[in-house]
Amino acid sequence: MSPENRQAVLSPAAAHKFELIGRISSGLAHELNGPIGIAMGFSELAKEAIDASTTPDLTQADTSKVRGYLEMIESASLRARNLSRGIWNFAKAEPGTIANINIVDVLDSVQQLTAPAVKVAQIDVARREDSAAIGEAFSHSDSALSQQILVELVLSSPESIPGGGLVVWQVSQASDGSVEIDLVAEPWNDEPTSEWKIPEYVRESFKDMGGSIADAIPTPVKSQTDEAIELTGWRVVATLPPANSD
Amino acid sequence: MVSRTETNSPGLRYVSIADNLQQQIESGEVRDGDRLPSQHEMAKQYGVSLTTLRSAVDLLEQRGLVRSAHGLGTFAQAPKPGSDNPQVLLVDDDPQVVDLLTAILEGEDISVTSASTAAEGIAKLQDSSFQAIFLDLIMPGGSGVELLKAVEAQSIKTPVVLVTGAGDSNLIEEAMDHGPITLIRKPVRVKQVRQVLEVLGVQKQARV
Repeated sequence: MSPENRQAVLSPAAAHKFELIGRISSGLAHELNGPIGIAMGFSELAKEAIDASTTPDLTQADTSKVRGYLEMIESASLRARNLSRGIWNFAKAEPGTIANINIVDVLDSVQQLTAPAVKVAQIDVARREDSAAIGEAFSHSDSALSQQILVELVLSSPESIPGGGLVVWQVSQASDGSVEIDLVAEPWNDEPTSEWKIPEYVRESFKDMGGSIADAIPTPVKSQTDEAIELTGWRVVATLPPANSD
Repeated sequence: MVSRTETNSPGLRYVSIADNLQQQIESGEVRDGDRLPSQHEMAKQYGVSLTTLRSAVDLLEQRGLVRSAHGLGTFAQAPKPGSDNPQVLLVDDDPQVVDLLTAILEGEDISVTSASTAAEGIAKLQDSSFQAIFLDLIMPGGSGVELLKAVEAQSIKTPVVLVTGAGDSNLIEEAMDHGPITLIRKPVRVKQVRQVLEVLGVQKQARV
């Protein structure tokens, strides 16, 4: 099926999801090279250590060395598994179920999914840790759809910081119980930035879920490399409805 | 006195313990000739098995920073100035890649100084003269190209080995504008790293 035909038969949400899976997978394929390479490299070193052992049974030192290499292989394999598990969960999640969900958890998984894709544009995604940051903020929302639109939102950030930078997110709870999601695209250095344009689909989806998203606004941010440089980042604030107390 | 600090970073446990002890010897916290606590005591301090601790001490012996006297204990040795071990600067933000390359390079009797950002790498360029720079391209806070620009601006002739993934072709092209480079594609293969070291003449001794 051609992309045009697929667009014609799929709902806009499903078509967007296909597109997002493609974009995330491309970053993921790049990122998977890391742990695969680590596992391959330490496997080679482990085999060499065993082959080079001067006694038929490994000495304690050799055993410890090989064990260390195997631990590295295990840790790299777990890293690869977590990367692929993220996209698998994202791909199989179907919009349509509305429940009280923790938006902080949703953003954690969005960070994990999008980090490899934006890394190639020299962008890191991170949670802002300060006194206002909270670990739980429940909203009565569609888990799959909110994850999808937040993925799309983060993936739209590179155009606003073309020289690379940091996308930091934070979640807070407004006095009426609604959940406020705050994202700032901060450049690494004094290269020019441009407005963070919110994709129309994201805007509409927030509205459909009973939330909202405002236009990005320029905001002063601290330079990561030189405190003397004054930088402008772009801030996006979105809200999702409060949790249902029933 | 040996203090246990910063050894919970990801990576090979015995290597991080050896690195920690090396830092204490190099900083003078543990002085030349000081007897280290018994291996049992150190294993307890670091919370590792005796086998792991012995591997750390073996590694330090290989690095020339301790000597063991049978029945007497293990003694610190100050780093020898002008050691003939080649020095390599390794710049990569992925700690597991750093661990792998460090294991390969140290297996070739090469001393490794590592940095996790281009800016840190640039700062370390001033500290020592290196026989090679192993450099990742995509890193937070600025790409490896920033370090290449600094190398070019300071007319440093150290050969640079880019260790990078397949998706970085634009950055590789940009990197090539700043001087000759050798390229190793990730996933890194052990043999390939050794071949590059041989071609660049960085190895202390040829591998049989």
